[in-house]
Amino acid sequence: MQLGIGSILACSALTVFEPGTHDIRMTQQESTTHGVGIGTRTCLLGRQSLSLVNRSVPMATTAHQEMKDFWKKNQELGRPSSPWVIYRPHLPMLTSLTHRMTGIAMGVALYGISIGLFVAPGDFPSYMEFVKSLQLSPIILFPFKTVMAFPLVYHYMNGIRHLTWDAGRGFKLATQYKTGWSIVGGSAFIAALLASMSYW
Amino acid sequence: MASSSKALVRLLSRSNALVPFVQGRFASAAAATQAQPQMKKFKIYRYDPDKPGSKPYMQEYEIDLNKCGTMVLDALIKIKNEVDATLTFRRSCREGICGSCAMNINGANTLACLCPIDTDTGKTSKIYPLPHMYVVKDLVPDMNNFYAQYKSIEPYLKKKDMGEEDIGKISLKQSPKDREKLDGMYECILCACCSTSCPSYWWNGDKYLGPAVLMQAYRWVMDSRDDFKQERLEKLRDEWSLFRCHTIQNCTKTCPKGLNPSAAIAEMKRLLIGYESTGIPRQ
Repeated sequence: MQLGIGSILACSALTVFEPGTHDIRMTQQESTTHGVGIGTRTCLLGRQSLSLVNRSVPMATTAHQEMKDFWKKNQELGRPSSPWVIYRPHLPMLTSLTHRMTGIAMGVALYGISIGLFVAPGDFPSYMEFVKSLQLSPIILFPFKTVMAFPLVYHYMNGIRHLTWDAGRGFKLATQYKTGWSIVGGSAFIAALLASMSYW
Repeated sequence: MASSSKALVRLLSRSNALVPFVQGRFASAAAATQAQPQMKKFKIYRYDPDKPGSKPYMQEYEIDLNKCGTMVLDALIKIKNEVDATLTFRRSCREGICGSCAMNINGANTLACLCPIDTDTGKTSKIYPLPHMYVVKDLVPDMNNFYAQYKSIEPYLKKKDMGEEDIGKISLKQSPKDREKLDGMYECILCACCSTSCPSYWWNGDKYLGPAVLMQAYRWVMDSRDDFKQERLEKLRDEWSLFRCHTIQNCTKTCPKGLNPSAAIAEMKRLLIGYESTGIPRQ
């Protein structure tokens, strides 16, 4: 009943785009052998004509079956997957990506440094003494410290932004740009501030 | 022709908002006959399923913008009509309401009919099908998974105390306030721009429903006339269907209708963990 003229049109439109391998005849064969399990390919039209002949044939495939058929059919046909790397980056996407990367980086660093110190011959203070003994210039040390502090600051600040989203606030695109830039700028500033602490 | 258009402009020229537009149209048409050709390059994704073993490739086309409409769809139609009839794409209404011509233009998903051509002729416009979809041909992706997912959320009114025979006998009324809760959701045209912009959907399109379908799920959850609010929500209570949304916000950024699927998903997450929701908040 839901399959009105619209679905017939949709189906005929589909068949136009299909490479010629699938025709109605095939669908009917399938449907007689498999009963309900008709594929999405040309199924609407096939089903329509079938159900006019024989009312006992169930009219609709389930969404689940249609999904299953979708993957099977496309893999069988070897259709290419359209590229996604061409997607143009924008601020909200990049803040999300940075959130994830800083999270992973901190996780790796936490486990890596912990396990590394566990198996290494010296202890943490001894390594710190070694770095201090190198007498590195602040020109090298300050940016390095900033880069080290940034993931923590950024992840925390953007984490708060995520909490406001969980509370259902701040979804308007303009708001997202405002909060996004604030967090990028703010976390860079605070990271630099933290890195400069030893020079105060 | 020219005289009749002049007459039309004269007719309209008293206090009609359309006039600048109409004049612009005729002016550009008139100018096109004299002006230097404004050649613009388009690089378009091509894939021919009928040639065995063929691989997708990019094909370049060049058209004169002076002899073409303003939107990308105009350019595509011009190419198909005048340059290469084998170029395949979906289109229908050419006014942003059917959702057929959804594609990736210069790196963002949008409707070709609502996307103006970048008039900088130094830049090549790149056109791809919707990202991470199986390609039927050229710019035509296989949308059947998307439609099946939409079907799975049962996008129609469901009543508990009504049988088939009661349908159409009484009108199901709704207060203006309840109706307002559907604003920002019912306008969705299911063009799939948002779903196919979503990295979560790219990687988990088999299990994650994607922004467009989730927003429609929420639209039916919020409909005051529907009796299956709780059941609808419970269907989404798993690791994949809804909670794969990581608020990446590509959906909201890309929606050609200016809707906010991300906010709808957030509201539905809130409902599922027991908070109240009153539709998409006006923020």
